[in-house]
Amino acid sequence: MKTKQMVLWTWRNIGKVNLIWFFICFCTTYIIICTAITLSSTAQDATMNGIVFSSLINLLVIGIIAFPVALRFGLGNSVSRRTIFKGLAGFSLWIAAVSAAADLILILLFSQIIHTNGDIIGMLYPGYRAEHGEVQFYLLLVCSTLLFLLAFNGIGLCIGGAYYRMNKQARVIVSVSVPLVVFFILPLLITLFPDSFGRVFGGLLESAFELLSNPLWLLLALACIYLLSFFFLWLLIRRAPAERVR
Amino acid sequence: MSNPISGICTENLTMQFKQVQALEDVSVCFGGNQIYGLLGRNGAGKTTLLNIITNRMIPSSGRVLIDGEPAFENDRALEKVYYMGEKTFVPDTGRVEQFFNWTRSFYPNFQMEEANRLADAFGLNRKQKLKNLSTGYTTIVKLIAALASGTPYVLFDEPVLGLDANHRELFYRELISNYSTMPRTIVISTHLIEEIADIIEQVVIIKNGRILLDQSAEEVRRMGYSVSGKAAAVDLYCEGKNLLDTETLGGLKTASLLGSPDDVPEGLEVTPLDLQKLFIRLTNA
Repeated sequence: MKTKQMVLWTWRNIGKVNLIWFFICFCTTYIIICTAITLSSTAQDATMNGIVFSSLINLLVIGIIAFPVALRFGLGNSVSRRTIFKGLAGFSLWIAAVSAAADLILILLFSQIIHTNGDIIGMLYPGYRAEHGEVQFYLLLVCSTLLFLLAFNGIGLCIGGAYYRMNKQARVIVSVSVPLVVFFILPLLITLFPDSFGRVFGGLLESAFELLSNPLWLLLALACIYLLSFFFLWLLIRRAPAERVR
Repeated sequence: MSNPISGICTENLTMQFKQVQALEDVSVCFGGNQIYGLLGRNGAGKTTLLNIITNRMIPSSGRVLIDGEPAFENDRALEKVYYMGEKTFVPDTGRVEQFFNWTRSFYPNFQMEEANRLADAFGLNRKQKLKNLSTGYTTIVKLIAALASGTPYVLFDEPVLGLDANHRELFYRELISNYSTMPRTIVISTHLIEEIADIIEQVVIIKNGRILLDQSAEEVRRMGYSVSGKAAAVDLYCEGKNLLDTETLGGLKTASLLGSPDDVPEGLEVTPLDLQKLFIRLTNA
């Protein structure tokens, strides 16, 4: 009963953002399509990208916001951390399902007017559709979209939870060091030692591409990411206080 | 308490924050459908104790039982307790009536009619957004939710914070009326001891994270007394006695003393001890 209330409350207070997001997406995409068709010679030459990618970012951000808000609300209303965790899991499934449905509907709608590169499977496995047929392609598309969204939402919840549990010094260190490493130190090291990085990362990427050459392995990897993220989320939530660590 | 396992009981609660020991081996029980005054100086550990009881904080050691059941991570036990704390954990994006609706969904015995009646009594507009409420009215929203919660245990932490005198008086009246209609265990943690002195039935004083006193209000008042009269007569009477405090007004003086009144001369009036004065003396020592 309380799990259901937590899911409902989180949806009504945070999930509404998702609906607004899709409305904005729809309007923006419509404007972009009109612009693209106007600028290109034929509708077939125009392409549209990124519906699913933008939803992934959206769910990542929603996950980051949802953790502290849902935790504090739940603890403030005599709900146990276990029930809050179940509520977040339910909310994650619900919002991923709604987003996946909305994404696929948008892609389907706009693909009637313009060529779309909005679906991830089409971009990662361009030959899959021709090889395996429409039914299998759409089944894979639905599953992969849902799992991608779940994984990103799970990662977002973990980021939100980690930030919530960190004290102020740790938050400052992470906020400064992560962008510093990603945008400055790493590119600098790659420039200075291209061969070493090429050997390490090249090998890793090759292995990853080999592993993910089969779409089923991709689905499995995404499911593992989702489950791992929720395992990590449980570790963050099980002793979380109602007030943020200072 | 009529039933030995009813009530909220803490067993050897300890809470350590890095270098600060907020609570040390606290064992106390709240129950028997009585009104408790949880008193203590700033930083004594009152809010920490209430946060641990309501599962908002996890103690370093010890446990909390609610009607004999461990409270930790126990939805069934926790929904018996409504905690009106200083901090609000509800986003302020909604309206007052939405706040009441959400409270009802988490507290099955929440009385919406009572909440609406109290909102009218306090002059609270239920359609107003929470973020547009003043400090006082934000407190009032939480007070109303607590009074209408329908839970067998209600904990108030600084319930009159930001309230004007009129609203404070209204709150105390509604609290007594609510308690008469639906007897339950109420714990009030406040610094305004004078205002609750006549309401509370049990007194619990925390000092430096430990329970200093846990007695009925009646027993606490019998710990001392006050004598009033002409200053010279009062001074003479107080010689050699355990003096708590004196107040002088013109030629008249009032002295608060520990112990029982004995051989009080004529001309001096004996009155019950002021709880606040006793509290100051006990927590200053």
